[in-house]
Amino acid sequence: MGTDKPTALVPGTLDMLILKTLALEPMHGYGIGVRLTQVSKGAFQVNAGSLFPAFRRLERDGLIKGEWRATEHNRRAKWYALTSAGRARLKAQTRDWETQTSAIALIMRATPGDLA
Amino acid sequence: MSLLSRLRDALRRLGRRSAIDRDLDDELRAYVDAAAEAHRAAGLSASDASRAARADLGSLAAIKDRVHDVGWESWLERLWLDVRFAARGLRKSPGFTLAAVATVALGIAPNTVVGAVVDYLFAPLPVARPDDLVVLATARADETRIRQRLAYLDVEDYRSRSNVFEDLAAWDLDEVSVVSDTAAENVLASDVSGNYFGMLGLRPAAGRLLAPDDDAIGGPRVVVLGHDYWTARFNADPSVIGRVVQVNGVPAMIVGVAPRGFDGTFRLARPEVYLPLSVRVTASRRADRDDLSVRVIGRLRPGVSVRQAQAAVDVQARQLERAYPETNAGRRTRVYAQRLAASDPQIATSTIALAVFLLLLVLVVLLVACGNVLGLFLARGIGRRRDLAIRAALGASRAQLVRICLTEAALIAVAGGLLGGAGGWLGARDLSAAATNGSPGFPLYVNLVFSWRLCAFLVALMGLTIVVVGTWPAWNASRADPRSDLDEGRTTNTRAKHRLQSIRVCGQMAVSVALLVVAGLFVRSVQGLESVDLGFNPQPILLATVTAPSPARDAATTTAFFRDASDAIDALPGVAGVAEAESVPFGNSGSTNGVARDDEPSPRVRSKVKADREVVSANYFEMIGTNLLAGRTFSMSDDDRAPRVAIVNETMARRLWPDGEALGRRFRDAERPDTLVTVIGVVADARYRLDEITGAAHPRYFLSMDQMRPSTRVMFVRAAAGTPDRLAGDVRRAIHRLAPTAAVSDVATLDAQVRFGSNGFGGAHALRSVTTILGGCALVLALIGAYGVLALAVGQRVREIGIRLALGAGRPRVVGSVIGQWARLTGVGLIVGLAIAAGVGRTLEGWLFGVTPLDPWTLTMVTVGVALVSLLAVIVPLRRALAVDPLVVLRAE
Repeated sequence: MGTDKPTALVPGTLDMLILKTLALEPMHGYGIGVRLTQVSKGAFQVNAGSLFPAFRRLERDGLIKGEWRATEHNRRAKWYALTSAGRARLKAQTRDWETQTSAIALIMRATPGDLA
Repeated sequence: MSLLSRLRDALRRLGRRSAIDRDLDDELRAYVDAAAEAHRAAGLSASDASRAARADLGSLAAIKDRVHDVGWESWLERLWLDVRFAARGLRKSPGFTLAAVATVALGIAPNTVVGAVVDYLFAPLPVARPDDLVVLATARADETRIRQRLAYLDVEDYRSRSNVFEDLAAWDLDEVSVVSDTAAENVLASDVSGNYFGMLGLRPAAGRLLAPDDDAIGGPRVVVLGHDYWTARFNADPSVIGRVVQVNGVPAMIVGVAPRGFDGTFRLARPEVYLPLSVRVTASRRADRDDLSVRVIGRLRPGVSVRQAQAAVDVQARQLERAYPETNAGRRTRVYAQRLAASDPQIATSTIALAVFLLLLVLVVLLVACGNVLGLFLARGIGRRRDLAIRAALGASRAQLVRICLTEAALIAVAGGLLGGAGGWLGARDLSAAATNGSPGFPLYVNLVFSWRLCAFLVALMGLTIVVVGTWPAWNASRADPRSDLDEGRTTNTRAKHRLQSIRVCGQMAVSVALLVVAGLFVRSVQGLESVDLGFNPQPILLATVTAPSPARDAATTTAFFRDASDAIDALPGVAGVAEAESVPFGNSGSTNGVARDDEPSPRVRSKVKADREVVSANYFEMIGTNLLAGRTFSMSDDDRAPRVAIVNETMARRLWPDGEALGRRFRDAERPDTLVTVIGVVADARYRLDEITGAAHPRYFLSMDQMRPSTRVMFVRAAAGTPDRLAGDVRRAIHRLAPTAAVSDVATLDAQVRFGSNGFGGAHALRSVTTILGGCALVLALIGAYGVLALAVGQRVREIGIRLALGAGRPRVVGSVIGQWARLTGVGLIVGLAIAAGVGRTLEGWLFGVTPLDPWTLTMVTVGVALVSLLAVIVPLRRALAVDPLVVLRAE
């Protein structure tokens, strides 16, 4: 068993990021990894060892759905798409995430003057 | 996702594992292809691109593992893999596995036997709300003895005026003769009050059960059959309802059948028939507040605890004491939970103590057995260190290594547990069958059932085994260090490990020494019991309980029948003589009465002396070998028309007439306070009860058989030579030739009655057997453990011994060091064991006869015995140490 964690990733956010990626358009496994790297401007390099368990987890919970289709290069690949439950989960998580980040930002920006 | 659909999903995935694997393989391949495509697009050659893609991906197997781990079902799968892996490992060392499983089985089997018996004794009755049931018993403020019965009037008072009992029912056990169309036999009966079945909430299997009206004095006789008796004697025929049978010679109508599975309210006996209480406890006995005539079972009101009931009863007992001071002064009533008192209401607390004692005993044996298995595991573990280290080096996590060890322990524990459980269960069944059928004189009924409680007990034992056997090796495995353990030459930590092993063996030795001391005490106890001079000679006597044939059961015919029966038995070859008595020494029946001199107030009112009442024939004392000290025995003229006469024992003579001469004096008993009985003889004290063995003889008086004329008598047949049990068949046939419908039962030797009967030395014998067997088992296990440690020590020291020899150390030195290690193990084990035994012995004092807990003979024998026997453990290792050839060792270096 490996112990490699997506170090650059905030722990626990991978599922949300995958959902967000799939919300833009259905995509296959490799494509999702590439898209995450692209959009984050190379900040996140998510490897297959993290991606595939996440796919399995999301699929098990009924948030995404896989389907075998042809790729742009005419190969077969499993394309994942968001289910309605996945869409709802993404919405909730996005809201939570925004609340948390703005709260964290507030704290991080605090100066001694704010305490008075 | 709901739990259920998740479960379904998981099971489906488990079932389609290969299809899902294929899917994942395809997906991963597509991923690699896509990655290679990207690399090619970035300008790499085709082969470089696919290599780079594979490198990006990492280990395929690891990814697949992680994907599988997502579902919880993988846990199940991993368990299965672990089990298969552990099983494979165990298969590779069959000797180890066999020894470990067999040892665990040996430890579990006695636990199963004791567990089954204890479960039986304390199982709830198959009645409505069994947990609300209580048993009442009588105590005296100034006595520790608990009596099983209450006075009928007291019960009525408790019943009508108490606010803690929903109801109280009276009952007792009795032996009656039942004569149906053809068969005649003596069977155990339960006489029950009219509300008995109603209070228990039972429904009949056929007909009806006894109702309050049936218990009316002088009402028509009715009988309810036990379910098993109905099945065995009447083929479970429902048309027997309404049929009339003779019960003790009186016609009684069968009105119903008790429900299946209900065996009365006394755990160790199964009544075949149920009769109204009025049959036994007649109107005059009911009216007698001094006559403790009935056993009592009751039901508490909902929400009332046993403690509250006891408090309420205490208040009432004091009220009764004030209202009836002449009978109830100092009388107290005890309330016990029925489950705890079901085997014997008289000794509720000691039954629990005995059960706990036996359970602890067998648990100790299991722990010793586990100790050995642990030893086996650890010894194997030393060889497996490299194996585990390699696994750790290859990336197995500590958790995985621990899991392997625990799974192995679990497999051994479960296999041994199943084996030992099955063996123990069969053994327990055999034992209970032997107890039920094997001993005609003492109908002990034990009907073991495999209950969920027993099942849970076995599972708990297996769990305990896993913990004891698995934890230590697992801990070792968790510390497996690839670097040091792969380094061949180093033997780290063996010293510390050795010390732990030695401690374990010392513990085992100590425990078996303690067990053996306990066993030794019981052996001495039985010796003590059997060496007591009983005051009679049981050796040549065969007993047979005979009930006169039922039609025309008037006293004269009965007397004539028994005269003929005696003559017929006397005429048999090998018979030296026949006497008759109403009950037998150390038997289940017998009555104790208040007695008083003719110049004292009636014993009904208040009696200072309680005496055991016996009824015997004229030649009884001669047959049984008790000396007549003064006066004469009964004669032909002491018959029904003559004044009542009695023979008393020394103690009774002394207690009633302290001034001297008892002959010719008169007394009366509480049973017939209007009849004065004249003493015609005095016999030597003899011991008829267990409490007379340890304490003083009881006052006892013997009435004349020809004057009392009971219809059921015990024939005391004296054999001319050899053992009397050869005569059993002849005696039975002689009676049946005389009268085919006479009931003959309980044909057994008096010796067996005394030595093995439940009211004789049976309990002491049983404890002796159990502790001796368990002590022996524990010692054997401990010796195997000691052998293992010594052999291992010598095995590991071969090189050292060889070098020492080569450097000029003498063989005696080598012998000395091995012997020294043995002596330390045995010595420490013995000392600790004797210390434990000294502590345990004190708590056993109540069960010992004629021997103190620190009996020097026992302690010496066990010490010497264990020291000698444990030499067996050192012989082989010693020979091996002596056989070490320095040349061979040095060449190997």
